[in-house]
Amino acid sequence: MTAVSRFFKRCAGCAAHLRRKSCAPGTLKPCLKSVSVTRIANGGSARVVCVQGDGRAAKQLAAMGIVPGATIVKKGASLLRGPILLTKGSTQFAIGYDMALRVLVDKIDKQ
Amino acid sequence: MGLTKKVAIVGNPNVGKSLVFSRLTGVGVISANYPGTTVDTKTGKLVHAGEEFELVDVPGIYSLEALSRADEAAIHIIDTCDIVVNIIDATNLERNLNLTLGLLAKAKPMVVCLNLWDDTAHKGISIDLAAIEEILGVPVVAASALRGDGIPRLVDKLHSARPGRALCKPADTWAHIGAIVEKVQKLSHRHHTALEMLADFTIHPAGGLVFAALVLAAVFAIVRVMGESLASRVCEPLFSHLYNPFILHLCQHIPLTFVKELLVGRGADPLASFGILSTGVYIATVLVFPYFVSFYLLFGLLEDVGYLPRIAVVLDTLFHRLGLHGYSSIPVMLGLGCKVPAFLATRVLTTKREKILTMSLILMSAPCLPQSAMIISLGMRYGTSVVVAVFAILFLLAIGTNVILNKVTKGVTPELFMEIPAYRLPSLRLMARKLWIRIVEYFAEVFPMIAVGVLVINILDALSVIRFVTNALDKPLSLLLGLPREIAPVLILGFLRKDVSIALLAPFGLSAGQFVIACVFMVLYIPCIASFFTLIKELGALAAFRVMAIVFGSAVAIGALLNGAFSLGKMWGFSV
Repeated sequence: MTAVSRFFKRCAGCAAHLRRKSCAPGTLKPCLKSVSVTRIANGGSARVVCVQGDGRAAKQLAAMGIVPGATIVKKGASLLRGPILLTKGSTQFAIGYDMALRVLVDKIDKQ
Repeated sequence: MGLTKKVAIVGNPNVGKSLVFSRLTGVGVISANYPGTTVDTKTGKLVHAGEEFELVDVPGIYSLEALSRADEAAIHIIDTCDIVVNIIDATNLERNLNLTLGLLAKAKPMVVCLNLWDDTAHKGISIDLAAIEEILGVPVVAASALRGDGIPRLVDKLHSARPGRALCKPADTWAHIGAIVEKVQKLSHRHHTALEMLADFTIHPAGGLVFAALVLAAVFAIVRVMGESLASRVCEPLFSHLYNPFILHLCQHIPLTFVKELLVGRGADPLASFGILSTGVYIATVLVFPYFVSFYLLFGLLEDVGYLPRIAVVLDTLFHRLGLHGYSSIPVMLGLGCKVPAFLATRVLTTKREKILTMSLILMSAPCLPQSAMIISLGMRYGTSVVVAVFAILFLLAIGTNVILNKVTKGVTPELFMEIPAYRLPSLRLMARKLWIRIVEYFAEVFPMIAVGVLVINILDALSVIRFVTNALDKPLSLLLGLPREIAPVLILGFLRKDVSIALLAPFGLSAGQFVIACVFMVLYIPCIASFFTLIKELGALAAFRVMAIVFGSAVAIGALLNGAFSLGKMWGFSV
């Protein structure tokens, strides 16, 4: 691995990464289909199942309405594991990739 | 009554609290279209129907949970005020109601103001005011602070502010909000507007980067062209044909030579005479002011349109490698203008580590605008490549230092979490007012500083302190940096005003290499007096001195390195 690629490398939300962290109390039960919001295709809708960890990230997300049961739309992702763009209602916001990894969602299929 | 009631203007970030505040009180505040513009509280008075209100413009918060220093300050004000005015972005009812429900539970007399009401129509949103007033149980007013609509009604309602009550348990807040929104708000379908399509493009992973590069390049090109033509067509002629003859004529009759020399200096060249009213005024009005106006005109436009948060998202990936997240790019960009507001803007950052890293980046990545203006106008005598070299060296040094700092300091890199506001067409009147506030602040700060600087240098000169310092710095300057010893007094002046100090390099006849070293060193070695005290205030003395020591160390190291490289180059026959 070159120094340059090491400089840009970050975890891509592997299964082990997801399992290490527990969901905050009071969340919906993740089913087998649940994935990190990073795995949702751009433009896709999803229902939030749980926000892992209960630190400041979870509080910030809760203040924006990213709570279990909320429906969000993934607007886009940036290159090199940059921020993920989400919309909830008419609010658009960007969250860091690592924070997005901790938002577990169920994909909502288009009808 | 006679008792002044304290009114806190509270709301989510970027809902127009500062605009409402300034409409109510007439106090000029800087507003912009990105979350976190207000980090300091401002107060103003309002007298209406025999009652006196003291209004406080509170920094924006998303919830009543303190996650940063700005949040803590805001929550403290809410707890100590008599009336809460909750400003809500009417186009984002759902998200804003979270804070509103929290505020209602505090049982303080409260008024709710649905701001940006004019935007709801073309966004296809209709809100039932009577219904929402009934649900919340406190007065609700629709307003547009940008146009001034609804503000008188808001003032009337201050008298009938009623205490709210908790509507639901904190755990059920979002479910309850969903029910409220369902009841009071109707959405109609509409197509993407041109602004929204632009919004999507400017935040696109690849398109956004290209756009950001184009915007930055355009800003610099326009600032240069506008600044130069303002300087040469307007400011310079005004100075040399009107102001200078007038002031020389006035001072002719002063009998004391010392006072006269202090005021207008010796000789006719405004840059070399070194008087408060000649050199001081010339630097402030002809050399710096044109660039200042051009930069803040464009920057104000970018702020009000809402582009800055998008740059922050686009730059997040890069900033992550520096131990920061993209939001830090906003203070860094502010720092291109002046370091003081840039340092203040770091208050929204949550950890001390983040603040230290951002501040070192602000200090090192680029000079402030007056300095840049001086580097460009003096450096162009040597050619474009010299100017580019100065900025490139500073930029690379800043990145390098931050990568190292990020490696050696403990702590985790925080995650970006930022709301992206919709693009808004800026109001020309507001932009003009903002520019005016900045110009007034510039002159209020710049003139006293220059006057003091010139005075101090003259006094030091008279007391032969300068000769002493010059002798003391002689060896280090020539050996380490390869600069002439006469530069020493300029270095002392640099603490007072760094732009002035760079302007004073002109008479030394430096070679191109020496000029690059002198500029890089003088941009870095110490912050100017205003940013020095802001840094201490924001970080605490210990951390501030640590940051300054790191920056000073890098300045000496890069200066010596460049000097070594240039000397080697000279030995091998390159001309530098």
